Amino acid sequence: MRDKRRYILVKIVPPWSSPGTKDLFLVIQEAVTSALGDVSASCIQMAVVHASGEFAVVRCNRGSEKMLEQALAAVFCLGSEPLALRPVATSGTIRSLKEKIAHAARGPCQKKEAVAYKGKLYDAYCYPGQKIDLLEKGFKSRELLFLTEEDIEDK
Amino acid sequence: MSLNRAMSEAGGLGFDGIVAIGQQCTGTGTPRVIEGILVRDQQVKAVVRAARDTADGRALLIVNAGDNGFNRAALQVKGVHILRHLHKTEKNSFDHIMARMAADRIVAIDLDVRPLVMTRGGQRQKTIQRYRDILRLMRRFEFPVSVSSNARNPAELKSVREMVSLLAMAGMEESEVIEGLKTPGMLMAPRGPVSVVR
Repeated sequence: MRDKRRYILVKIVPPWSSPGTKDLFLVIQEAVTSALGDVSASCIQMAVVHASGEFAVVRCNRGSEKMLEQALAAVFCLGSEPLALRPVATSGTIRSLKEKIAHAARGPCQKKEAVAYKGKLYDAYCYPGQKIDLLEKGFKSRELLFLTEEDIEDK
Repeated sequence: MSLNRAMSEAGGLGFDGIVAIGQQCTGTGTPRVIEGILVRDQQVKAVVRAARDTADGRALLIVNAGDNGFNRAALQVKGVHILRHLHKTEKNSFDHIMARMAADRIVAIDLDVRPLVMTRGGQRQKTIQRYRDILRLMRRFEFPVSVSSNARNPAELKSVREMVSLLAMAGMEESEVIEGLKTPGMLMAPRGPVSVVR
């Protein structure tokens, strides 16, 4: 008999990181296993069914949504960069969550642009709410700053 | 993360106030910023000095916990609001005597969600065990408990829903988490007798 499923809409923070479904699956699976153990992880049957822009849809078995949310809150990085997955809504269908994405999306993240700040060169990601994320240009141990337009103007 | 950005992110998550270490207190605007003074030194002298500096009640005095003797002395200093990082200390550093002392003096014990997110395996199990012990004492002696994210970037800032999920690992109820989020505001404006303002 087919299992009943639930779908959790998660918001990806920071939005410009936009990880792929495979990366998301691996990072969530690690969080589920470490927080809840292999037995609970097998009961949850987690899968990432959709990921684009600042939202992703994660699937689980019905009744295990709370456990999955607990594990999602324990995700903190992808590789060397910070990542958070914030649960927004839970539904029985992917369609209704995609409708929610259409309502909640703040528009596409603008393309990165080069900015000089305090004598260093950064890639700047600007998005609604006057928020600016600055990622230092380079290869190793790049500095990441989270600012607002006001902070940049004060400088 | 700049203060402006922290305010913007916290406001987006529905918080009406944040505690920022070493930042000026702003009474107006949303979210409200409460100035926090953090004492990292494990010396009572440093705590007393900080308490004297914040005697006007403009800032929240937060002390990093240490061993049993230091914690007991810190709890007795008038003006200390929050004792935090008990999960990093020995098991006997906070017992039922100090729990009663914290309840009498209205000093909150902070539960930080950061180690629940950032650590794995034995380290996280130890933290969860310590939080369970603190919560058991809190339910018996009714001292205030505060809940913090200790965030350094927007990804580490947690929503109320996430905090409830994370602290459920340590057996904390949703109502207790919500009370814990209100604690810094309560400590800054403690309930007292009604006074007539002319």
